[in-house]
Amino acid sequence: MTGLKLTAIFFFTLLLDGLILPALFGFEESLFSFLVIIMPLICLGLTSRSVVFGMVFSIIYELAKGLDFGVLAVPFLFIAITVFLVQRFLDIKRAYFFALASAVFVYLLFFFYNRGELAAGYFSPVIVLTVITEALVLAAIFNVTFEKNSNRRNV
Amino acid sequence: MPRLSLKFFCVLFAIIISMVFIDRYFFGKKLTQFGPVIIKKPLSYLFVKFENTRFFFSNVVKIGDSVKEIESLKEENLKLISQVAEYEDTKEENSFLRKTLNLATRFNNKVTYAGVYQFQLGPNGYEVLINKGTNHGVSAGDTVISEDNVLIGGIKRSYDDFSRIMVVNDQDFKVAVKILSSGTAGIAKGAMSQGMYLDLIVSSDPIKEGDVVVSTGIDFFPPSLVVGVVSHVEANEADVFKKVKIRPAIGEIKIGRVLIIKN
Repeated sequence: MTGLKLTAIFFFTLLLDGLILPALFGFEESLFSFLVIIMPLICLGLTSRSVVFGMVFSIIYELAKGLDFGVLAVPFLFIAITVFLVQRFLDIKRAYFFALASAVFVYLLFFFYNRGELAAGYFSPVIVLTVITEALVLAAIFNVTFEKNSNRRNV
Repeated sequence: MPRLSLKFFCVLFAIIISMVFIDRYFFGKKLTQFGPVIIKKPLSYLFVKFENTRFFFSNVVKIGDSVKEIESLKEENLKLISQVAEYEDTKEENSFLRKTLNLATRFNNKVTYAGVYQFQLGPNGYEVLINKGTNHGVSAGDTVISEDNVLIGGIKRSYDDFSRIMVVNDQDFKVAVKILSSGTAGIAKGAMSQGMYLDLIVSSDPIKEGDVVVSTGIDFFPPSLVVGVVSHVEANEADVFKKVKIRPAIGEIKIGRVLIIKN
């Protein structure tokens, strides 16, 4: 069920970013779909399932945009390894903290994607605020949607 | 929580590498083009519909200011009528001179209609896809404009049935421009969400907020395409150049349907 919900959220954000927000609201700086690729790693825990889902979502993104295979999936795997290493030192549990962490990891994903470069334009107030706001919104959505599952798993 | 091992990550890397290998050597890099070809038709239709809805509602919101606007438009219209007469005369003369000198007309090159169906910020600038590709005669370097003569960008890469546009506010976009009223020329560069910056404007160059910026035609782009409006000018006595910001015109027009001019 978690997988189904995640997939539904991902496809909705893909439509939101590429079609609904730019065409209906004239807003082109949304990064929801990238956050949805990364957030399961932080929000649902770094399990093999969340890594596989992230990788599959990356491949779907590549297919939807006509990008070459691996251009997003490989940076995503680097992010998964980074999260794996970071979680040994930091306990990312609070919603606002994993929202902030997701925002940082989106920038890191772009950094890996561009092979160690990132244009200054990505640090403009509009884009930074958008990423943080969207990360908080998604963190809230993930908390509500997956709360029961995580409680059950903890029990 | 099952522990993740190095073996697990190695398996995932191997899967991706084999997908890249299969796509490159068995499908000639066509496998990744499959997705956009399937979704381009419905998304292109929806993009135009959504955009029309947005413009309809923005016009409804502005309806209160319409009376004042009509008055000023009437005045402006009278001025324009006299300018049109002058323009027609110049156009006729220009056409005659072009024929005499055997020069090509402005858009003599092939023009193709296309529809935008995805517009999103990605890791490498904006990901803007249109539903025409090499099968329709579109190739990298072609100019993309709107029906209102506004420069939208250039074709970054074209595939069989779709193409990727580099829009004017993309970080890698550059175009030679001039100020319509004064003729001050410079290079406009994309600055993503901040619009565009106009480089090489020295302190003595006349430029002010509200000036219209158009392409000069000395590079790959045709002349007199509207790029945007000067939104901010910052002059510092210590600097040789002025800091000029442009608000791109693509933010104020419909981009669901575009024209591609073959270069």
